[in-house]
Formats: sequence, C-alpha cells, structure tokens
Amino acid sequence: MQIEVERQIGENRRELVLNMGPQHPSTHGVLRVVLTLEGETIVATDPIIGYLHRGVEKIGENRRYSQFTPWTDRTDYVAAPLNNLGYILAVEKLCGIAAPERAQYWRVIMAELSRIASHLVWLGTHALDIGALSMSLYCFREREDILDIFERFCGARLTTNMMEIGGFSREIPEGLTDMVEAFLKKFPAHQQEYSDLLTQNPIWIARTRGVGIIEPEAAISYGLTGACLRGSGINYDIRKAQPYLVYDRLDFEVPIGTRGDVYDRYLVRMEEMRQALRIIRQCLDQMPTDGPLMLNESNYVIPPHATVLRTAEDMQRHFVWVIKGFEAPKGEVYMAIEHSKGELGYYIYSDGTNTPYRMRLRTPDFVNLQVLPYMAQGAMLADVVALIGTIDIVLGSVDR
Amino acid sequence: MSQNPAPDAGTPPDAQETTQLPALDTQVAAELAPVIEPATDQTGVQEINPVWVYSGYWGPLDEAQHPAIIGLRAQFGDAIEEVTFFRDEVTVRVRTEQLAEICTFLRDTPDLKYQMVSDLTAVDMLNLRSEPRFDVVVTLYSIPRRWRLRLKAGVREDQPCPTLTTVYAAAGWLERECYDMFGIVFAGHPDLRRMLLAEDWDEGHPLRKDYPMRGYKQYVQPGFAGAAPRIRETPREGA
Amino acid sequence: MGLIEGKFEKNVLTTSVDWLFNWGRRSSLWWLQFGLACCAIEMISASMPRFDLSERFGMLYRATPRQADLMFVAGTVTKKMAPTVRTLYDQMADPKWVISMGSCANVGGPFDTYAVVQGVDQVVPVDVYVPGCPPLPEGLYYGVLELQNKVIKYETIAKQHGVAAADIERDQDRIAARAAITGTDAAIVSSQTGLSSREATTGLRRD
Repeated sequence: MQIEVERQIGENRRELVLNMGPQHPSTHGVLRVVLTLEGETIVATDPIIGYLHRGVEKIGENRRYSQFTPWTDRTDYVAAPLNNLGYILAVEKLCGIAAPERAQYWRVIMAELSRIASHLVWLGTHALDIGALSMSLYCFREREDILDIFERFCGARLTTNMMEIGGFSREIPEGLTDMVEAFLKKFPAHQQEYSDLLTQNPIWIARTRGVGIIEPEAAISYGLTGACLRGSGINYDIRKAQPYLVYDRLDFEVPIGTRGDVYDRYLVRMEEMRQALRIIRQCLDQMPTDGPLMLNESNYVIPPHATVLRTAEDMQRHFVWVIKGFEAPKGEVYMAIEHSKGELGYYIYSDGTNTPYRMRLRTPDFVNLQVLPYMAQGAMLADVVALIGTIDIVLGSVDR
Repeated sequence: MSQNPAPDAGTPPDAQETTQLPALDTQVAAELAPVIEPATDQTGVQEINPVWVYSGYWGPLDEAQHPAIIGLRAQFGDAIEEVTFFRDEVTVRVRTEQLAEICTFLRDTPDLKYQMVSDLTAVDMLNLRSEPRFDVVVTLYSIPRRWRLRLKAGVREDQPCPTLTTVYAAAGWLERECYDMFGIVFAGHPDLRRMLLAEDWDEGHPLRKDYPMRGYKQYVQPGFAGAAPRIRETPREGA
Repeated sequence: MGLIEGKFEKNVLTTSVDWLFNWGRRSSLWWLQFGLACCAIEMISASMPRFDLSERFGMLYRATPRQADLMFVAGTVTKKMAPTVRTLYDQMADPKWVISMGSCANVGGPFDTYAVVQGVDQVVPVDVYVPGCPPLPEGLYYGVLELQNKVIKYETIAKQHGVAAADIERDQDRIAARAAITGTDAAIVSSQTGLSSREATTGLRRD
C-alpha cells in the first residue's frame, strides 16, 4: 500500500531548505538532517537516517544464539562490550540461567570501562564539533588505555565480542587486574583536566547553557532514556530501577540534571564517568578471589576448555554446541540494560529452535534521536551541531 | 546526588560541577514521585544463585493481583484477550481496535502510570500461525512503579493498526520503522514513510519471513564500468 | 598541469620530474573525512596522538571532497549510501586514490544482506584494500604506506591512464618480483604466454 505524504514546500519565500548531508564532519557518521531555515533560525528539522542500515535484525533470525554476538558489537561500535552484555543477558534470561559471581563482577567492570570509553568518544566529538579541538585529542588518548585493557582481555580493541553465555570461557589474563588498577589511578586526574578546560569555560557555557532544553514531560513522552532523560530531571537508571548483574550490591549515585539543556547533559555524563570509576573500584574490592568463571553443566553453555580436549563426551558436546547450537526454551523476553546512551533492550522471541524467531534490538540512540526536531525548534543554525552531539548518537546503533 | 571537591571560591555558583536535586514544576514532581516500593532489598553480600532470579520487575505474576490487569479487565472487559507469564514478564494480548484507548488508560491512571514506551515493534508470525499475520508488540514502562508491561495486538496483512502517536510521542519513529520493515500501516500516523531504507525502495518489506536475507537485487552503480568482478556470483533471486 | 599532462612519452627527464611531483603528492596526501561505521572510529584513533596518522605523514583531513585527494572508505556501504559515495568520488579532483578500509568496504564484511553493497569496489575504483574488522591502526598504516608506494609510480606527464594501465603495471610488478626470486626463466615464460601468472593459474580473465 502506497502512502502519499504531502509535504509542503514553504510558500514563504524567506524559508531556505538546507541539507546537512550524509557526509558531514559533525554528524557523527552518516546522518542527514534537512533543515528548514528562516534566516538563521530553524523552523523545521527532518532527520533522515538509514544510511547505515545493515539488516542486523534479519541476520539475527538466521544465526544461532552463540553466533550472533559479533553483530551486536557492530551496532554501537564505541561501546561494544555493553552491547554484548545486553544480548547475553537476554539470552540467559530466556534460558533461565545466570553466570557465576566472579564472572558477573568482571562483566560489570568491563561494562563500566566501556561506558567510560563511550563517554570519552562522546566528549571528544561533542567538544570537537562545538569548537574545542584539543578535547578530542585528550579523550582519545585516555580511550587508548581502555582499549589496551580490552585487547588484553579478549584480543580486540573495538569490536570485542567478549561476553559469552554463562560467563567467560577462558581465565582472566594475568596482569589484567593491575592494568585496571593503573587506569583507576590515572584517570581521575585526566578527567579533572577535561573538567577544568570546559566546565567553567565561558565559551562552553555560552554555547551550551540554555540550548536544546527538553521539558521533563516531553522527555518521558519521547521515550528518552539515559543522560537525555536524566538531564531533564527524571530519575530513571536501569541499574538502580531494575538492577541486573551485581549492581544491587554496589554503592553509586545517579547524577540528575535540572534544566534539561546541553550543559546539564554534559555534567550528567561527566559525573557518570566518575561514578563508573567508583563502581569499578568496588568491584575489584568485592570480587571473590577464586571461583568459576563459567557456568557448568548446562546445555546452554559451552563446555569447559580443559575437559573438551580430554574427554570424548565433552568434545562431542562442544561439537554439537558449536555446530548445531542449543534449543532455547519457547517464549519471549525483553531484557534492558543501562547502556551509556540510554536503555538498550533486546527482545527475543523464541520458537523453541536453535535460532531466534525474532531478534529485536531496541537501541537508545534510535529513540533518542527522535527528539532532535523538538529541540531544534526555534534554535539557531549553529546550535544544530551541539544538539546532535548532546543526544550522543552512533549511527550503527540508530540504523542497525 | 553527587558531590565533588568544591571549585574555587571565586566562581559563580551556577557553574559548579555539582548537580543538585531537580527543581521541577511541583505538579510534575508530585506525579513522578519515586517508588512505591524498592525493586530489591539488598544488605551485604549474598550468594548468587546460578539460576536466573525472577525479580518482580514486571509486577506480580498473578492475574488476580497485578493492578494493571485488574484495571484493564475492569475497564475494557473482553478487549483483553489473554494474559501470559514467562520468566518474570507479563504479556497482555489485546484487541487491536482498542489499542490506543488501552494505552491511554495505562498512561493516565494515577496508580499505574505507564508513561514511557520502551519499544514498539512487530513480529511476523507467518511460520507459526496463519491468522493474523503480524503481532504488534508494545512494551511500556512505569517510572513510579518501576514495572514493565507488554501488550500484543494481532494485525492482519491488509489491516491498519491504530497509531499510538497521539498517546506517546516516541511512537512516531518506532511506527515508521515497523511500517518500513513489515509493511504494517498505522492509521492516523502523521508522517508514515520509509525510514531505514531509501524512501523509494520498491523491493518490499525486509523483515517479513518470506523475504530472502540477501534481498532481490544487487547494487549496480550506473555508468561505472570498472566494478571489480566477484569470483563466485551468489544467486540473489529468491535466495 | 593540464598543458603538460599526457603530452610526453616516457624518458629520463619526465620520470625525474614525475618523481618529484609524486614525492610531493605522497608526502602530503589530504584525506577526505568520510567515516561510515566502526572502521571510522579506528581511523579517528589512527589520527589521534597515539598513532598520529596525520601529522607524521603530512596528511590532513578535509571536510570537502574538492580539497581532498585520498578517500578512506571506512565502514559499510549500504545501497542507500552508495550514490553518495560515488558523488563524493566524482567530486574529488585528479589525481585521487581510494583506500578501502575494513572488510565491509572490501567485500561487504559480515553483512551479506539486502541492504549492503558487497564491497565499495562495486561503486568506486579502489587502490588499496586494508583487511580487518576493524583493522588495527597499524594495519591502516600499512595500507597508507603501500599507497605511498603506488603514488610514487603515478605517471603524470607521460601517457598512462586507466584500468588497462593499472593491469599492465601490475603485470610488470609481478614479472619483476618473480625475476627477483627465481631468476629470469619465469620472467621469460610469463611474457611469452602473454597471460599474467594469476590468470594462467585460475583461468580468470578481466576485460
């Protein structure tokens, strides 16, 4: 059925339609925004996405549960471990299992490091767009330390594929705890540096204070989550509201903004980075010193490496698990985690076979980006880059 | 809320790093008054049971006790067709024609306040049942109660589904994506056009079950004679 | 440049002047800031202080294709985006090069779906392919250095253009490499049969 949509080209001759094309240094990827301007003031905005739509959900319907993790990395590629985590938790919920305690602590550590890495990319590119060019250099320099930790842990910097159903199948590499501790020692000073550069900077305040205000009722109605929602004053963080992993044992605070403008969202994300350090510190202190990293004796989980190479039974189990997969229970689950950008939800509808029947990724950027026309109404043209940056989008996650 | 080491005394108080409790409009603040009961009650270290802990994040798993289901049955009677529970999740199958009214009821009832839509998607049930073909799945979240709820509405192939854009603004893009991927038309949507695929994409709706994963056509750049050949041309027609 | 381009046959004088031009080109490649997906983040990391792709090689990123001579296609090219990629390539001025970064740009990557073009070489001619998903910044370095080796052989004022010229150049490189390894016999055999060694073994012909 064809839908005819009538779009009225402005009869007002003072309106100018400007195309911020898919290739633009400030659109964080391939986002296209069609702006209708009257002078410098924006009258209407039409974000056009889909330039990176790769059909990840369709791929999910054709892959076994253990095979699908790499595609989740590539949706939000600046915070890949968090994407993996959401998917693995959804599969574990579907199967009715949970990872052992030590694995859960390591998952939290990796998730929080990934959150810091994602916020560093956000800060670097957001500041770069607004004009503070050196911030991007500093932020990416810190990010290299986190990527070194990821590389040590799982072998890859960016697309990590590190979470597995039931825990971790390999032992934590030696020296990794020292690397994380070294990072915890080094990072607060650097973050203080960024904060000194920007937070009380009159230019930064002039460009971000009062820009892009989202009213709390609008924020809820638009389904915003993450810093966009918390910057407007609503206290909704899934780690506190519906805790998963070991977040209910950890003591951390959730920063809430007051005005809902770009500056408040900046403060919220900066504080989230500090709270993430606090969480990692508690995890390292509270973690049991020994204990299994992988759930044993479950047909949903890969058999342990040592016995696979030594016993025939486990070798056969391994073969079947890898080649044929396991048959998940019939049913549907929706598992949401607090991603760095908001609520990342995986909706898996299983029909009892070894592939999902429907794999839906509810990505936070996709829903958050919808608020751009609302924010840009009446704003100036120069504010558009600040608005796009403050929503914190990654186009792989928007388009999937 | 978080406190940091205080900045220099000479700085204006507005520009401090700390973020204070929100000075919201009092009406909004009252409506969003947090938590009727906490989601979990943790003191000290506990043993983690390696079986998934059903944690009550969706409400009581009993039709007679769940306030949303009680309210819905009282208000809408037999528009509520079926209620299922799986793990800790609550799924309510509703009659499609009244989907918007049901969502309005859930959003506005002071006791329930499912004000936020988490997800709006569809499932093509072609391989599992014959009629109706699609299931539109709406996942709602209540901030005061910290509960989720899932609504399902069956939609036939040519039947339009009522839009939720009048109830939640988030439904705008979520419904556009549903239309793009499945072909479900949402009656009353202000701007229903393709979103993730090109606007003039004429090859169908990809997430339907009878749509091949590789698609129908290969991309050919017009006027480019030097396209590198592929050693093995995988067939695309109906692959 | 238009006055002298393509007018002269290859001789010692033109090759020296060519070398000078190409040395200038490869030492100051200006790249178009065109990141599509995950590889873009690695491309950005490669130009950041730790790996420093820009400053060390004289490379500078430009936002507009009119001022760029190198295009990194970093990420997946979807069917919706492909016309834009072609437009950007057409807007770049000669001499221009394309580096295809990552598996998505090489062959479509892990996404063999309805919406993805299986390789950017279906859209623009590619000079260097950098494999990886995403390639490490060191891998991107290797690709850039290989491209610099290619740029230094670009013949500006002697007559050589196009895909056919690239094929001839590739064959010459292959013959030279074989001669260096095994002596001159292989070189004679290849030139006598008239087929390049790759075509001889696989039977694959390119028109």
